[in-house]
Amino acid sequence: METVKVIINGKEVEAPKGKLLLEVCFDAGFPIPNFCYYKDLPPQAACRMCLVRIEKMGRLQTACTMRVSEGMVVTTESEEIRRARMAMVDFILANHPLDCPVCDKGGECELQWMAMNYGDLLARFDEQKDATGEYPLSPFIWLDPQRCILCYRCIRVCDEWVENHALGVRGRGAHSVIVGNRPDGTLACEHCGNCVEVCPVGALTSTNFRFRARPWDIRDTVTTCTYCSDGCQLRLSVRDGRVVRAWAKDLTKMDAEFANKVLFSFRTAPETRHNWINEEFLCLKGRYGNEFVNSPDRLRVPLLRRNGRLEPATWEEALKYVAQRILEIKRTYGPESIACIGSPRLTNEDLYVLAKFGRQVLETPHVTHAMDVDWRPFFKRLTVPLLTQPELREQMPTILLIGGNPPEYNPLTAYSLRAAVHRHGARLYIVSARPIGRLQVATRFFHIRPGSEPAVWLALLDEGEVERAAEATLLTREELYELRRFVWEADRLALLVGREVTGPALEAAAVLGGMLQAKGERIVRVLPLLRFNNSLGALDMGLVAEMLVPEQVGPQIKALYLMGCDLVRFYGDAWRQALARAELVVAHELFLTRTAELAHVVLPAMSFAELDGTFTNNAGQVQRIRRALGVAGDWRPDWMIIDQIAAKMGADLGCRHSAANIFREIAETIPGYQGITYARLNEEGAIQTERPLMPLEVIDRARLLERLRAQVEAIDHTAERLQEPAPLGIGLFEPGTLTEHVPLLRQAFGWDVRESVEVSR
Amino acid sequence: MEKVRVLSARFDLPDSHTIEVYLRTGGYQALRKALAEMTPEAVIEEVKRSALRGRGGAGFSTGMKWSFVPKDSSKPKYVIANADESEPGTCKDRVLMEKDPHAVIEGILLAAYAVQAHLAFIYIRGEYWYLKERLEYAIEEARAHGFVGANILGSGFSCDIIVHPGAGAYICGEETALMESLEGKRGYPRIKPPFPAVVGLYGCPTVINNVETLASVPPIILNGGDWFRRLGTEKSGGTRLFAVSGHVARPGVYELPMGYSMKRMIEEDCGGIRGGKRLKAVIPGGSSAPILTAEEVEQCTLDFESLLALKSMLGSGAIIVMDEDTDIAQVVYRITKFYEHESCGWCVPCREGTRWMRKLLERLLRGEGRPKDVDLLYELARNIFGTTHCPLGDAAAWAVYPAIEKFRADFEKYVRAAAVSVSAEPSDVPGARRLLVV
Repeated sequence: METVKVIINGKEVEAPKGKLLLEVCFDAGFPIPNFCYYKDLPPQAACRMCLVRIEKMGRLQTACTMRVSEGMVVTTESEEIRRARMAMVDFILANHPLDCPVCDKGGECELQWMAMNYGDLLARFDEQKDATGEYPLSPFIWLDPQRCILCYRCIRVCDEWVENHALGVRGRGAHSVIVGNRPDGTLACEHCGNCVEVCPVGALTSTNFRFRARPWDIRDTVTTCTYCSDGCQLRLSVRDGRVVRAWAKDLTKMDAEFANKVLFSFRTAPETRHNWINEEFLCLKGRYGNEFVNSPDRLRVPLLRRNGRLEPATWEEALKYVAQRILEIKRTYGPESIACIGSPRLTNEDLYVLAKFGRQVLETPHVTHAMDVDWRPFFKRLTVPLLTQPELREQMPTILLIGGNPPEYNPLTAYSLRAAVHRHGARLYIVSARPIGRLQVATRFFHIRPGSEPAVWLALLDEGEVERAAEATLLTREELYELRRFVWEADRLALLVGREVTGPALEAAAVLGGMLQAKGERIVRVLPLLRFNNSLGALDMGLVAEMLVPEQVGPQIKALYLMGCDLVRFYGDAWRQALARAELVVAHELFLTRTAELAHVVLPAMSFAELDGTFTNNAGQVQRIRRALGVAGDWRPDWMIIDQIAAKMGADLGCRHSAANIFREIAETIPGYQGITYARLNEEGAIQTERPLMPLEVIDRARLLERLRAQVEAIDHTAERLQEPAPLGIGLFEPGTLTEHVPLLRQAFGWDVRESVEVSR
Repeated sequence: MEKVRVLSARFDLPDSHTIEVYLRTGGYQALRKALAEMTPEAVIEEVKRSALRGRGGAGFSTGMKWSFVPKDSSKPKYVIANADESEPGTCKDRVLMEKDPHAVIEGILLAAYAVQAHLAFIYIRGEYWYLKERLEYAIEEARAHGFVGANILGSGFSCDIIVHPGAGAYICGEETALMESLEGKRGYPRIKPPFPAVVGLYGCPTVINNVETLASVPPIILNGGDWFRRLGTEKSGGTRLFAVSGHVARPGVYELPMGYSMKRMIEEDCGGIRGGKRLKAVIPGGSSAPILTAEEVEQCTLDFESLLALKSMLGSGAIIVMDEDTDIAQVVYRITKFYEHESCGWCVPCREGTRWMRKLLERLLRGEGRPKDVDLLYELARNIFGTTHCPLGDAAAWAVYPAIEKFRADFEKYVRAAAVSVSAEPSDVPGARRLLVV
């Protein structure tokens, strides 16, 4: 990279040519105040706080738009500049309501900081202010236009990060107001709340956080999101034992003094780095979907079925009952009559202990988890490493997405795709049966017949199959050749695999990378778009047996040990009868779900906000979750419950009372997890596990092609392309086992959620 | 100084807007000459030699502007005629388009040929809807005669012209805001650099000139750049249209050579101050230019250099003349109100500063001023000046602080009046500042 020498305040600095002056100054230790500048967003030059003097230029220049060139001589501090900054703060505060005492941002407001540091002691504005009220733009987001300083961060974030293009400006001059995209000025968008996150003042606020806490009486805990498999990091703010918000702002990117003196001073665990895989991005669920942990519907005590009804019981009673019944069933019907099913939302520690319990104590082969897509063939035949989000954003100039709908199901992946295009001009090709509305940054879009994704994989694998694939996909031969060229000629290629495909097509997705790399010097990475936060962790922890079908319960399976999985909801009503046929159903749950209602014993478990543990995301990265909340109910970690049952059965699972101990054992026994410790995770954030890669020679490719061809033949060749994009919110706005207990989401989307069942006390 | 009519030569002819009259009076000869005898570079050279400077306000050399367009760019190039004439006091382009639309069209075609653009736009002020029709009619006339469209006059050069109306925003006269508006977006000025010559309309190299500038090009090509330059001064070539308004006996649009005496213009051409009153002040270049006192007008000539020396500018050539009865504070208030209304809202100093100044002036004129208010107003204007995103903020500041420097008494008389009536107001008591006004 070409570098230039610039002189900043007399100090000679070397910097990459064309880098923004403001960033060069920041790196050189001369932070420049600003509001409208935001890393990686297009420059705005609206707030005029970053004015600096550049020699040979007539007037003060904005450092946020100026790019450094050789020999530039810059002054960032002088009387002239001080006066200009003071004037800007004066202007901004002129019509500002100065209602800091009731403003949610008070205490962590960038304008307060600027006013203190660069403003005048006295406001000189003595005229009548133009007052405006505050009002909601959406069920999630409120706007107070009078507080707004019009830095346009929200608009740019909405355009660039999430492609909602939902925010704009109405009115002119001093009457400019941020508005939503509906005719009445409200928002029709995915409600990710990133606009609230980046707002430097209290203009945009979140419904769930408004008037609920002050920054100095909350405690933040950095943890991992519990929704999709991308594995965003977030900060949970807790006040009085309740989660009041989730946020992801990179405090280390701000003025260090501001961050350290103001923002960290009232938080118990200051962060020294922010190497989060999601940078500052969160989606609707990550940001607004965490308050299920506060829900009054949470199970607080164990429930035991007595006389056909679930009644509160003590832990001792419940655990003893479970241990005794399991032993009886094992003795009567043999170990194979017991099945353990975990949830891909639980921590690695929980799942590991469940697997160990199933294998060593129960001695059953039926240890599995509730999967939506069977990814086992994919991971078995993986030939190239998995792709992390930072790699996707920064290092992949060619990206192919086949299937999936990242904006709805993997929002962080969608964000990274956009970032790759915006930051580095990556070429993004999308193959999909439906137009994807919020990935308009794509270079090319290939519109295929629904269900014909396997044919695309077939054509990519074998040139001879283009004809067959063209027939199946409705793409032209030229288009398929173009796709092949895109993939086979790329130096660095990212392959993103959606959840539409199964079996041989998944194997093909795993094998293609190896074939490409074998052909020449190139780097291929693959990202499977798994569904749940710990889908991969569940596979890693060995819950890999074939998932049961409901018909097995009764004749074959007598006891079901369910850890956090609502089978009735997930797999349908057939499980209702199946559960009724079982002699024992034990359920660990947060809520009394449809499945738990039918259980014999329901054990109240801890949520992700109350636990220590780890999740493994779809890139194979292990990340910590941390206990953010105190104890508000008589609930226990899942692993502890199992450990105690095992103890009652006379077995020792070696948990030794802490998740850290369990993870130590995981690191010793699970391939790829070697060397990972909690201490390292705290230090490094996300650590990628090493996956065993299958050598290409071992794979019977001819056989794979044969099976793939059969899969292609089975495609319904009469189906038409879906012309309409999937509706906004098809994934995000759907109620789930956790989200339906979040009052804000419930109200916003009008979910008709069944009332919680009354439990007799 | 000899008064030659170059731009207004056809203004008095009957049906001057028709192509017949235009052709009869030497119309489209310059285009014919350029296409037949001159290379695009030669056209640019001729315009450079003429010392023609932009008539929209900034006064940048037109030939230089055209030469900045990259020749090796693979992108299409565009020419835009800025007909969004909305500077207060300015009405010269309107007369030009009304009386001589073909001169504008020929100028556009010459500019397009010089930079090899094949599509040109006339961005016309929305209120000029009747001129839009006249221009479109003229373009069709020219097309029928083979001057517009494909393969003009058999030369192989093609260019089409589209007329697009604005929607009533002053800011869209700023060249980059105009382009945003033309692209269908909100009219915000762009961050510069890059300049339009390199990255303009739709991200392509674009030449954007004022209507009058473009209308000056055909005579330059026909008679030579040296001829044009000699009409004016060494650095400000040619003649230009001055729109004189205010307290003169005969307001109107006058074509005068650059370097002409402003005093002479007011006294001779415009018939002096109305009602035999004395001159008090002149705003020389549309409302954006700093005000001049009667003494300054004495020594002022109508060219870019003279006004620069007086720390003002010739701007759009709109001369607003004010007699001795004029209250400068009221004038400044009216202009400030205009800028507050027209500020786009992009940057802080302009958006908040114009509102603040308007409110302060309103209070002052209401008789509630305090002694420090004049100084505060002055300081606000100084703080706006030089810190804004585009020149609108500078213009708003220029309307205020030079006026205070030169006519302070006009402002202070309101303060004195106020000092008697509201001195007992609690807000005037030290320490009783209202910090929070909701």
